[in-house]
Amino acid sequence: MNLLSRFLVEGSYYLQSAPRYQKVKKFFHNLLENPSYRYKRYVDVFMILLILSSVTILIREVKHPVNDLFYDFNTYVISLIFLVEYVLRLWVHSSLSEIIITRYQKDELLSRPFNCLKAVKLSLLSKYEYMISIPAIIDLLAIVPTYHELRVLRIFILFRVFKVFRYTKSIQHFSSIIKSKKFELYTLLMFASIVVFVSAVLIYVMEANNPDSPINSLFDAFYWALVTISTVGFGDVVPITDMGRAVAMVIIVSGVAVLSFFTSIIVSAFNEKVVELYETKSIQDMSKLHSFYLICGYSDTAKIVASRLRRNGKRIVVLDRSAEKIEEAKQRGLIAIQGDPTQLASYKKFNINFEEKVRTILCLEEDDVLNVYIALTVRSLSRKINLISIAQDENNIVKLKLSGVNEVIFAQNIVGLLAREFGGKPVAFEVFHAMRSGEQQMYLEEMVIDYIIMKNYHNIASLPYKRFFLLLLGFYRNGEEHFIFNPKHFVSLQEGDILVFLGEHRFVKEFTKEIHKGKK
Amino acid sequence: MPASKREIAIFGYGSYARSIAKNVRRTGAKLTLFVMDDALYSKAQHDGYEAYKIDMNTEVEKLSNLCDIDNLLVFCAMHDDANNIFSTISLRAVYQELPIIAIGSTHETALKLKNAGASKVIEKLQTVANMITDMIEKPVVTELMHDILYDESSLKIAQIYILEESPYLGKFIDEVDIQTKHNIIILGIVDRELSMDLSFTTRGAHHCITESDILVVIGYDDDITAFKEFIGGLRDEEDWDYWSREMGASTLFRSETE
Repeated sequence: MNLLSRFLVEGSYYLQSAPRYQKVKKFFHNLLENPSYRYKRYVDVFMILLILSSVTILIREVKHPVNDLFYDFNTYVISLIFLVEYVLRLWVHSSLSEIIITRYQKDELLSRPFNCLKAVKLSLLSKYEYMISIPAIIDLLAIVPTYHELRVLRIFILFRVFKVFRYTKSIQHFSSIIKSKKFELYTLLMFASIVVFVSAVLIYVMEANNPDSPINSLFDAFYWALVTISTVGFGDVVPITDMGRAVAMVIIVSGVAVLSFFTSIIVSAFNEKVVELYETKSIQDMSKLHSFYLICGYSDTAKIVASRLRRNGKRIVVLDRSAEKIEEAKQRGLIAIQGDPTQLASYKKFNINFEEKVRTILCLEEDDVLNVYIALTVRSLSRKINLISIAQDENNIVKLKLSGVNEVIFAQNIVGLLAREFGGKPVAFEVFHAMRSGEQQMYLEEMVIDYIIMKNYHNIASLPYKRFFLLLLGFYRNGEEHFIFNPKHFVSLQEGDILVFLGEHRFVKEFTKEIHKGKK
Repeated sequence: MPASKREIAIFGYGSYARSIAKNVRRTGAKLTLFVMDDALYSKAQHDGYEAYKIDMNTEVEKLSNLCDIDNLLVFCAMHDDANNIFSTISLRAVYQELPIIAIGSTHETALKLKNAGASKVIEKLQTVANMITDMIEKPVVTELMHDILYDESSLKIAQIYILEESPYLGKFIDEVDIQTKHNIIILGIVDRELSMDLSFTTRGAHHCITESDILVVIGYDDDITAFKEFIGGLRDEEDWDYWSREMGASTLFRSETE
């Protein structure tokens, strides 16, 4: 390996492993290219304002003298900012060092000499690919400053206006709609072109020789044909011979057809895309959430679960395959995304880090087969996410557990146990029921002992819970399997203990506040 | 658990009814199943239950021949909601006093079942949904309740009747330190002299223990048994019917017929 290639490879490794460099690069990448990054919006707004001010100055300049300060701002400052942006985008688009390293490793693996030139060429090619993309070209042309002296450069104002589109989403949607109807639009364009061409030639042949006719050149003929077929009809150029008028009639009729055909294509494309647009919106809403619960399958149980969790201030996202259920969930104000929860692609679409954002995934389909399927799909995505599932058949509990579900809820069993409890001890049952549902404002509440509490309170006796009419049932301690019931007063607390109190919700709240305040 | 004298009848033999039957059988109560069609009848018999075929249109009176009506608790747990409502209303039409617990799937069915005369309705979806949300919001509490409900720990919630000879008669709850002495916690009290409602001890433990009070306690099985012997109360009731009738209008049952 010669000195140059060694330098190249080592330099690439250095850049790849430099945390600071990678961090800065990631920051700019997020800022410019990641739509879910919080601060990207501010950059977008700032750029749009710059463009608008630039365009305003240019328009003003056409007929009025502009203050030199504004002129310089427009010519140098804005252009410079655009240049910086262009360079940054080019920088974050791909990683030269990464491509060189990959190439180097591949060559090493195949034990062939490292071709330095080829690696550089490859990495530069990736930059070149970006440079010839349409947005990049617009960006580049928008940098060109508009000097007074060169009037021709005014055309570049156009690119500054185009640049606005980069920062607005609607135009991206629009262009994707146009793209989806490429074939239809192409057909229409061909038809219109042929009609324009034929009628332009015909009208030229009919009218050009007539000295009274305004159509004297082929350009006039094409101009007339286009104005007519678009149903604009300025009326500045009109045929005067009978033959010319006959041609006009044909082109007018076909003009109406072309226009209506064009409108219907665009409208139907919008209709087809509208679901997708809503979905994009839902996914955006979801990615703004810091943490949420994902419900797979919007069944009747899911409806109740969702409304209860929402009442307690939890964030919920629903994933279901049926459009009607998604619609229903949306009407109830939930973020709902249509997709098959048994397909990995549906989760990939979310484009988020699941382990970071999803607190728990609830499999609430009314079919055990689906729930098993969902559980397996989720598990292939992440091993860590907490999974809760309902089961319809006792035999499937084991299967659900095997497929990776953390907690299985089997309705029949719960009802059976409740029934037994109720049959045997009606009063105790009532207490049990009241404590769980909070019917008498009585709740079982849990409280975690944190370091703030530990600073002031060391044992059970020192906690002033009795003042708040709370009943301490016991606590769970990390490492100990069983619940420690009715602890003695001298038992000392440990950080991470979870105490279980019975009492009114508001008193528990007051109590929590009090012990976090510290001792008086 | 000590054998109960009470009888239990279950209508239907769907998945819910099976689960109820399985759990109730463990308590030792006399259990009778009533089903409508032959398939379920043979299935119930095959599983070893005492089962009868019944036509809810005409044969409701059959119940009083087969069971001790005054000592009976009925579960209506048929697979389909419409049949369940019909069974409830048929039973209520003949037996005005009978405690009927019905299983309903949705909130709407639950309301209909109450209107049909069920003393208590267990809503399937609601129960499951509650379980899920509790699991998410209060995992520790849920686990604790689960252990109690599933018999997975020796912690129990029990009701204790205060009889005449109890040593604590006339004493205040906060005066006698039951919590440290007996290692059980009193959750609530039903003072039958005042009202039939249950009051939680956290709302003020300054309550004088009198005869016929019911204490609801939580504690280890052994401690509860010891306490029961000490206080001279009966654990687990002998007069469930008393409860169901006398206290019918209170927190337990809000049925339309009563």
